[in-house]
Amino acid sequence: MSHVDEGTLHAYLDGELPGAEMSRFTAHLAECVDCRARLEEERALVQRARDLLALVAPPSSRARKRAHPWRRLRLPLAWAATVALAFAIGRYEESARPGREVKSDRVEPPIVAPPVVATRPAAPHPGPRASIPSSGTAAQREVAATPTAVMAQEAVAPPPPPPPAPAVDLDSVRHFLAQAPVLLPGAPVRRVTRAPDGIVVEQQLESGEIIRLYERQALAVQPPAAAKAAPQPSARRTAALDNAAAGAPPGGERLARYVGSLRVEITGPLPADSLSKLLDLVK
Amino acid sequence: MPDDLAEVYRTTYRALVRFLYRKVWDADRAEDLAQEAFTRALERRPENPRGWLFVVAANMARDEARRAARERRHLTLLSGEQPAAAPPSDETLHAELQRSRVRAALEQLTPRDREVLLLWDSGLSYDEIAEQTGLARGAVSTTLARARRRLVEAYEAGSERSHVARG
Repeated sequence: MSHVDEGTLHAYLDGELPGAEMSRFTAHLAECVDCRARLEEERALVQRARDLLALVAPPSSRARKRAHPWRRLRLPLAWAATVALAFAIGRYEESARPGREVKSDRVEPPIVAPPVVATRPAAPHPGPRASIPSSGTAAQREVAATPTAVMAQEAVAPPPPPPPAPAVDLDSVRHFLAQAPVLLPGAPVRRVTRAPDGIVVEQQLESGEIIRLYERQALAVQPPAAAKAAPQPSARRTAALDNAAAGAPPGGERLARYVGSLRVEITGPLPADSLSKLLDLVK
Repeated sequence: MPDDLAEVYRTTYRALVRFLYRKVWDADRAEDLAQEAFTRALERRPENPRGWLFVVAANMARDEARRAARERRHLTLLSGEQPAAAPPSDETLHAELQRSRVRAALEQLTPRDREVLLLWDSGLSYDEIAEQTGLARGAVSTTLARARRRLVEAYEAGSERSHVARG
């Protein structure tokens, strides 16, 4: 047998040499020093190529979670919600005792409500709720029970109307915003579309959810009549949120903030608290 | 999921993600595409699901690359403002540099050599690779040998260039 070719050496090293060839190959190898040396060279090459390929394996999902901070928000928020729920039930049980005086000037957190579906804010509740609902998803409970989520929920409005327009180009974006759009850092942009007076940027979170940033020039926003104290450009939250935080009747604004000269509203399939944190990260 | 496909999922899913990742270079997207491939397999019930999945995955990765190229044209400027991140450690930088060199080396291979190498690394046998690529079984080993050699050579040439550039 003449010297073995490179392909045969690799097939042997890969365990893919057919039986008939295998016996010829091993017989030749036993008497050919050159081929034995080449086999060792090819073995090193195969190992080297395997090591190089191992360097470009996809990162583990754990590593990816570490790289995206909002993934870390969710568990603490869930814990916070659990604690808040226990606290709320405790307060309810306490207030429901016979003869107990109940404060009536407090906005009761709406217990049953979808997490990010808009609700027109309810009037301050006159008294204790008749019952605590025993059903509802964890997400609903999470949002409803977290004190900060209460004000956020009152402020969350439906997502902007589904943008009918196709993806916009940069010129259009600059035309509408007079600058480049702001983004949630680290989240891939899936789509940028036109909205009536601005643009909608869709970004995908590491967890797969799509959030929408509805961006428009701050000057183009007409403050609603209910929000007499118009938010200053530097305001972190809208007047409604601040009102809600202060216990005043909320004005039905969206979860929004001002970034430079842009007004940015956020919507997405996440608890209001998480959306609020994400909104803080937008730059 | 039928039993046979469930078994293929159990044994092949990670390999399929790895195969896709080395084509689209986005871990999330690779997982999305792998799941999409399995969804299609559920609908189509191919005779040889494992080989079929890699064929479909390769096609999807090709479409994805075209789509990504189009999106990059639209969005390069939109994503221009990157967040200020903490400076990476030397170790992180080194690992990242190595990864980018391997990636560059892989991209220097011919499409055929790269495909065969990635399929082998994903756990396909010579017979499966031959069936998928249309190569004769005997040609798989020579293609694989060439691909490995070129990968290592391209990687080392890239390392040398960077050493020279740094002086």
